[in-house]
Amino acid sequence: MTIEAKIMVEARDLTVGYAERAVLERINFQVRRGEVFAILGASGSGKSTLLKHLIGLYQPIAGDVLIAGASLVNAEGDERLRLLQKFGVLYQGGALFGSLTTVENVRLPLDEFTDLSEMAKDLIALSKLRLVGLASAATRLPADLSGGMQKRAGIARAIVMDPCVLFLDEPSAGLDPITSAELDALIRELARGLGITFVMVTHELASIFSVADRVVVLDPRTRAIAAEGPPAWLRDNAEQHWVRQFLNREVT
Amino acid sequence: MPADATMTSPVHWDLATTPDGTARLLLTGELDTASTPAAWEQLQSELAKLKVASLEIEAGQLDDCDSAGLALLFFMSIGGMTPGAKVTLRGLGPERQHLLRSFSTEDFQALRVHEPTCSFFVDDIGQATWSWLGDLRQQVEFIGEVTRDVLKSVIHPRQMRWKEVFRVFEIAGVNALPIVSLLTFLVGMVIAFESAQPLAQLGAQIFVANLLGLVMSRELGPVMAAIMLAGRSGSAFAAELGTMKVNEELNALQTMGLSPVQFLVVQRVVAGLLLAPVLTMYAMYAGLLGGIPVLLGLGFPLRMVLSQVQLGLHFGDLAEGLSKSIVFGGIVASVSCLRGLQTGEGPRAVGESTTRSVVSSILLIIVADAISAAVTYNLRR
Repeated sequence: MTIEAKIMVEARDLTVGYAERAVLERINFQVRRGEVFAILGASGSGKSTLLKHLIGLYQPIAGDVLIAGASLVNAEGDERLRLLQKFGVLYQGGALFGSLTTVENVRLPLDEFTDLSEMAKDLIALSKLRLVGLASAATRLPADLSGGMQKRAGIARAIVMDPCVLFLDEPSAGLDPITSAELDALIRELARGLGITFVMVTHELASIFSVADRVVVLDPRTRAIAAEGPPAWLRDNAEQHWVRQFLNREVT
Repeated sequence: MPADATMTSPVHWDLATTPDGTARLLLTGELDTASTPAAWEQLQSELAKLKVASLEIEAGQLDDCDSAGLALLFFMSIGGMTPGAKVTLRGLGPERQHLLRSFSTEDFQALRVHEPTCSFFVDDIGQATWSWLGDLRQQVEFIGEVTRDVLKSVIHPRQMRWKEVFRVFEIAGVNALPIVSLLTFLVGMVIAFESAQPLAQLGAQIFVANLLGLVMSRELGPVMAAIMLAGRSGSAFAAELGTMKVNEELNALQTMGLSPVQFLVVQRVVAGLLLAPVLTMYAMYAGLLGGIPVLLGLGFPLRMVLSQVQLGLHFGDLAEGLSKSIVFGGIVASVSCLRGLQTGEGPRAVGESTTRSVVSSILLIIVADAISAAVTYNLRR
């Protein structure tokens, strides 16, 4: 396998924003298979906007997003659908469908995109719920689940089609430290055990130091990447003083 | 493996049996979401034909095996295709073994136990009646609370948030005028057209004007205006209060010591009570205007039509229509607010309460109209 083939997500000269107003300009990074990659930045730095462009919800102003080497920006029709199935997304609130039970939520992509029997679909959905520690909550409605459980169920649904990449939008937001640590452990297990590549947007530093192999820090003033590297290394060695302060939780 | 399956599926297998009842299954290729459904079916039918005492599955030569493939391997490994036989599964890498361990028969059986069963219709009727009675009780309590708070506001008008009343008045009243005009204008036109033909047979076509005046002032004016109020503004009240409940804004009011009824509902009910007669008057005129072009088209001069309307209409008819409209306005505003406050949890709740507000409002408008028709008929005799 070549080194290029191991790159699962790539932002290439990506300029993102709304209408013609650029929020981030000429963003470049690569994420390798099995890596946990975090996009970090203060509120308003464009983290969520960047994520929405990476998962193809919005068209970038310029540049390209490559998933497993294929362009998501230029893909259309069946090619785009195949590409979308290569990754899963966990939204901030879990984005579970309130009218469906937890297992039905997880089963939904299997119902829509496969010819598997009902039993096979139930077995797969339940196995994913067991992986995220929610097997006992299979028949409960999302409204009956806690915030942490909803996020776990969201992860189960995101991995049900065996994606190679998982995008997470603020996975620890609104969770207590114990639930947040449990979620971090799950991310580590899925990355190390199953080789899933993670791209997560967050401003939870504890979570970043716990799970991320590499981070990029976004600078809202220059609309570009301020620093890139392993989080512990950046905390002590980042070129910019404010990045070190940010990672050390120091008030400026 | 049959030839047709070989052509369409990237997974291949070799199934060999020994005289002592041992079956050996060698799997190669890709056992993924695309190939598994057909492979599952074929293997089940092939293994069902054999008398197997033990099954040995060799999965080490599979190039790919995703969750669907693992579901098949799990099903075979628990004896799903060879009941009573001893099954051994070999050759899976550590990553896939980890995934395979997440499959569980207990979870599957627990899910089957929870599958919904058909309920007995007597249970359904009982539950529906119980829920209806509960709802009726809530409505009576709510009407009491609203009436008390509205009277309190009438006695102490300075306590009323008049700014909010005028805001609702503008949104639910002024902004509704174009659609009320169009609708009642067209209804007036339709009534004129439909009644012109039978009255022509009696040589009484000019009485279309009398009919139109009476119908619009007594019945259709107030009912159409109230239905428009329910569909356009009542639903907005329910959605607004429902969203506030979902966002915990109502809890915030209560913990500040403010009553949601006093703070949010009274203004809407007062606006509804004041607004409905105005909209009704407007609807009456628009309906009459809709009938006039038809009568002009039938050859009656405008002066004759207007004089006929004047002759047919009495102050009592107008008063009847307007008093009904006040009742309808109160019904629409209070029921819509009640449905909004009753909003449950979850994203569907606001939609449900909006629908319930429109359905309940229209139902109660028609019920109140029927009662009013019976009462006024007996009073007129």
